Amino acid sequence: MKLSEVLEITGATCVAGERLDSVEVTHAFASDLMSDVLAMSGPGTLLITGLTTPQIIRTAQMLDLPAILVVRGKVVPQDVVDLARATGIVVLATRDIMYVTSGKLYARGLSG
Amino acid sequence: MSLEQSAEALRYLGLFSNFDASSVMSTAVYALHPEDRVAAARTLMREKSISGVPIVDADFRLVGLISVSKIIEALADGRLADSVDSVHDSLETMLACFQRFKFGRFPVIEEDGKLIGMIADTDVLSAIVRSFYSVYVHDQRRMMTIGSFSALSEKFENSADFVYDIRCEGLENAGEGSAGLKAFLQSKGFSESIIRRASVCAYEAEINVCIHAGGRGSLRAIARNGEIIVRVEDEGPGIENIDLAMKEGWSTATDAIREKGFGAGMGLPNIRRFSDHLVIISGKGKPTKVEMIFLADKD
Repeated sequence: MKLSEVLEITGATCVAGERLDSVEVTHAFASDLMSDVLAMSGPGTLLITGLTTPQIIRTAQMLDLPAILVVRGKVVPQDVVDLARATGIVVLATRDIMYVTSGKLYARGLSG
Repeated sequence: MSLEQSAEALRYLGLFSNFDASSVMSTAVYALHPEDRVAAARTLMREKSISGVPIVDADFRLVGLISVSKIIEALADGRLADSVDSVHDSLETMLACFQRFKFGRFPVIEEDGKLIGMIADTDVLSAIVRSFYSVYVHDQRRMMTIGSFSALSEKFENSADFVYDIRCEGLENAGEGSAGLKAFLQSKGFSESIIRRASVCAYEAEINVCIHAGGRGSLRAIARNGEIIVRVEDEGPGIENIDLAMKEGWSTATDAIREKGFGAGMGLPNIRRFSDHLVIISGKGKPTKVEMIFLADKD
């Protein structure tokens, strides 16, 4: 699924990154526990999380995750946005809660 | 690996550098008074399955040691009813003998001569086993891993290919070192999958330094011949129980850390999952060394 579709399905806004129609995600993983993300997800996965620490970017970076979708209307701090830009990781944000966001994406074919 | 080589490897590791007599000795010591009978010594040794008994005076000062061989001599001479004082070795004799013979036990005394413990070969063995408790090796090739670990120590001192000093307040820049390591490994042309495994493990270890060791430590790596070796070290306070720390979901992290997405007790289990060899050396109040080896041919 293209990130531009993710944006449309979830009504999210793009916080960092561009050319969303050129970035593809194959799966999604929803968690606020970074070690679980590190243990269970792999390249091409969209990380759905309610955290906005620099470590969400680092986690994505270690795992070659192309994008993060921040849920629950959290404001992503500028240093995290800067780190995302520096590492080339796309960050999207939505007001929806994690469950609703996951449900919408799952219903449209993005599996876990 | 021969016994001598093993001993050499262990010495090299510095595993036992912090061993002293008090950490090895058993303190539940059975002792006899000089006026006790040899027969009492024989009974004590038989009942407690020990091969020697220290002789102490009323102030618990060591005056000698009676061993199985002395009992056998006394038995042969029909002197079991004599006092142990008449057959035991004097301290002077013992000290002289320790240098000449391979005794199976050593009394530990304070400066004033008071007996505070005994060290038998089994105590030394248990102390080594206790120490291995804090050397966690997760695969079957324990000696091979420890062997390579010892050889690598020197390499790390002299010529790590990648060095990052961890200096982190809270979790602020936690992950910066691992990100640097990842870029370094990419520049060396390793495959994506081995780089990912090494980066994830380095990241977990770096996070651990930030959470548990005051954010002070080092992250170093050697990447040669298709193999990546990552070592993360800190100055403590150490892991009190490595077996527990290796269990998924077990953590000593604070709620503040958990709110930041870590401290869920998955760090070390993740490192074990993604590394090919893992050695963790730590202990309560001790520095922690985590060394991970990643083999390219596993990918």
